[in-house]
Amino acid sequence: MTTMMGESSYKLAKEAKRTSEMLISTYNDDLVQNVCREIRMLHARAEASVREMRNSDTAPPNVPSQLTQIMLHHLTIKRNKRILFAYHHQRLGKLKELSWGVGRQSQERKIKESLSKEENDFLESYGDLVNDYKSHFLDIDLGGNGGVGLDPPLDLFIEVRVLRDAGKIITEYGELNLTKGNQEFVRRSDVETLIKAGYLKHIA
Amino acid sequence: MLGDHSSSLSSSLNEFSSSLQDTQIFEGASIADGFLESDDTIKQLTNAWMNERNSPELLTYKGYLVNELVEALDFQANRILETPMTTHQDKLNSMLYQNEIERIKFIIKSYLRTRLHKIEKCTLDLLRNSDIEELMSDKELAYAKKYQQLVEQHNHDSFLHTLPQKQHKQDERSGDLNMVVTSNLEAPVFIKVLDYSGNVQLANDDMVLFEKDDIFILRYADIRSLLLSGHVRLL
Repeated sequence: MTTMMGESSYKLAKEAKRTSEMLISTYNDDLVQNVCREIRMLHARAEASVREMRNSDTAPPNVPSQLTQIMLHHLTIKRNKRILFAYHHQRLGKLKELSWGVGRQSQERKIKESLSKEENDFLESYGDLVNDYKSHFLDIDLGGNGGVGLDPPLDLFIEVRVLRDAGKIITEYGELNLTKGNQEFVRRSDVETLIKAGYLKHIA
Repeated sequence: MLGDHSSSLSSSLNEFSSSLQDTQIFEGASIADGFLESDDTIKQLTNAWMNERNSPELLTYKGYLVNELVEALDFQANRILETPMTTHQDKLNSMLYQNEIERIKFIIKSYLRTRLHKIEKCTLDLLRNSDIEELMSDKELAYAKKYQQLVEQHNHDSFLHTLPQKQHKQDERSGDLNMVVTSNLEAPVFIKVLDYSGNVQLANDDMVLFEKDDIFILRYADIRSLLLSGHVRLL
């Protein structure tokens, strides 16, 4: 082997750590394929060792070097698998946030470009799943960050400043004209999605 | 309570602020028939929400509370739209009702989303081990099944299909690591004792005396049965 065992997966793990805070990075297909290839190879070798031990003359499997080799292959395979799962899991977490509308919507297109095909499929199906669930509770607008950091709303109306032009928005209670730089006194529920999307800024 | 007879805004505001001092905004504003009957439901849902937010595992779904409040919200919203807004008093009342509606919506939303978060975290464990179907609502159950299938499919298509047969989830890994995520029952929680009094046995063989209104911080596993039977609530 020209590279160390587990080196590709180590690189993958480091990449996952590096991109954990930032927006989603491009799907590193190369590294993933490398890791998979390594797993296949280790698996083949381990199987070959086992077969050899079975066919050999020494009846009880007493050759420690062979045993350790098989064990090492096995553990490396499991470790590689674990890293693959972790990498994908982290990326999925970011995609899920997108579907619930947690403020990354403005960069949605950029995100979509960096995804693998399977991740795009997941994004679509997950979006459907979420919308399906939301449809049972239409009045309540389950979007946003899941009520985690927020306190229950104290005011019905809040002051917001417009960051970007968005034209006229029609809400349940009337019209809003959003031109950049304006300050508006608006109903909180109308405006939450816009704040999340970055069009408005809440002024304390 | 807000007087119907005072016509000036300032005097109604005075009454409102004094009534606020001894009651929460829910009770102070729910003089309307709509929410008065659900006052207890609101309290129960608030408790259920607090318990759910603070507990490391998924608790039973209080469907009857959610459904009742969703209906009451709808009813109240319609009432607000229909009442004529002539005096300042009416407008203030309307604002208060709307505020109450927003706050209740917030609680319901946070409750449902917290549950979904826990379901997504421990999907396979819940699907396999929860023997009571009342743990999740049927919509949550459908969500859990579909979510699990989506994630498995994604993992399979992304890399697992390239590996030899011994693939896929759920192995017991070496000792501590398990691919099936379970909720951490050893997590510490703050509890308040509601009505139990007596000694409670903890896992490490200590005994603790519980009296009404005591506040403790303990491992979740120790008080789990008390929480489920309603003797204790999480803070």
